[in-house]
Amino acid sequence: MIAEPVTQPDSVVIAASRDDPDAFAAIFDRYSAMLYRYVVKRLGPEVAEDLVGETFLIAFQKRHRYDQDHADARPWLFGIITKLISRYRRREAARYRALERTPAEHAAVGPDEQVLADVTAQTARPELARALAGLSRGDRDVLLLIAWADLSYEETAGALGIPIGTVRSRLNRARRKLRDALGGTDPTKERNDG
Amino acid sequence: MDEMTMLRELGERLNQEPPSTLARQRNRLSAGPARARAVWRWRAAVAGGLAVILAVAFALVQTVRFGSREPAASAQAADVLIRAAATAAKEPAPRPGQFAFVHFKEGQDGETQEGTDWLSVDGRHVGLLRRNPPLGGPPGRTGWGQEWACEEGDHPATDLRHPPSCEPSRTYRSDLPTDAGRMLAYLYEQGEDGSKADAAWEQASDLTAEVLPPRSRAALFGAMARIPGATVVKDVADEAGRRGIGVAYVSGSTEHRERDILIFDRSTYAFLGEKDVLVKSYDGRPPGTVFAYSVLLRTAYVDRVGQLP
Repeated sequence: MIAEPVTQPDSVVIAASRDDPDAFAAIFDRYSAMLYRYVVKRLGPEVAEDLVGETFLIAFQKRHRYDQDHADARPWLFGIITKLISRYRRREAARYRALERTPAEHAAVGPDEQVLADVTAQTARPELARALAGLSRGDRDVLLLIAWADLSYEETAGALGIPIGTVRSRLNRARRKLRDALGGTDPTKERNDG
Repeated sequence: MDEMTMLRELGERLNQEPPSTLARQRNRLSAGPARARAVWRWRAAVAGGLAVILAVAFALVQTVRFGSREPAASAQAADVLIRAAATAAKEPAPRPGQFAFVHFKEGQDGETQEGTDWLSVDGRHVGLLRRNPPLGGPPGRTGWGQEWACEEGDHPATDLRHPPSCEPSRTYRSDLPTDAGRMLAYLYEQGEDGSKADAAWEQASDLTAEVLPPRSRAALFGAMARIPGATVVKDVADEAGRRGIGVAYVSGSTEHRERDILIFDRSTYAFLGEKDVLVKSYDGRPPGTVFAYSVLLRTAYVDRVGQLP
């Protein structure tokens, strides 16, 4: 919970931090947990903490050029962290592949595997993980900013610096690939064409 | 249940709450090194593009030497960089179809990775990445592993005679400017953070670890000679223990706390490696700590993946 009686827009805080660098800490306090939860889903806890720190470090250094028309800093921050995540594409793919490989009945050998086994057993079908690993980076970024970071189309466009039409087309393509993967591999399972 | 709902559920399952140690990252905002470079970085991959490297233009050296305005680095530092540019320009150029072989080591904040990579010169062949620790492995794993350099998917390389059919990734950097003036413009354009010169230097420094066509590498050092602020370090060792002459750059802005040193062979001016040294203590690490580095141990051109020069 944010315990500020009057919450200033991010843009105002960032503007103040130009002359008073310490003020930028408020942006960290507002969004570090949110960014952590996003990056931990994509890359796991081993690198999440550092990437969140790096995101804020970059944001801090770029604060002078923050566009004051944007009251909400989330698209800006998610844009920065998306670029950082792209450097870990191997790790990300390996993470999804681990989901894919872990059968539901597989005995867990460590805490990570336990989590992954639970995932596979309870909800995610391996097909979903495989499809996620197989998406192009641009499509995956759009899909996960919307599904896992809860950004709107417009915010996603702002984060990635792409037109909103491109967000739509990438999302549509990504969703289609997921649907194909979910419906195409096991005909006994219900199809999810909705 | 539609795919977005399933995906959100997967996200919930993968989620973990931030640890209390996350708050430590807040301290980096006022004290941290500017270059928090990822040690396991996927070295910049450039898709496609014919890299027909023509004969090295001797004129390049002249462009660097006479075509610029007054060199902006200290005269000594500019001299080292211009000599390095001349040396780079004389390196042999590859033929299309060949592979650039690179043996490198890089690290950040205590973690290191060694690699021998084979990169397709014309971007049309699948390269090979041999790394220790292996790519994509769980943290803490050691030993060598090798993978095909594909844009998508995971392709362990078991039989080098049969590369997978995939879109090649991490190909040779044939997309970069080949003269110092345009390289300088490119570096300033790419740089984003901090002061312009700081950002341009940082871009340039990252490129030194890449495998570049001779003309681009020459252009890179020529361009760096024009970035203000560099100084000479007379005797410095790279992280492979090779001693040489250094060109150092300390970022001017208050947030920056690192000194970036490029290291060259003292007699040939061949590029050996680069390291970032903490200028002020950071997170318990004293000044002088090598925070990040890369060394180029060997580069050459060969005809087949897996072939050693």
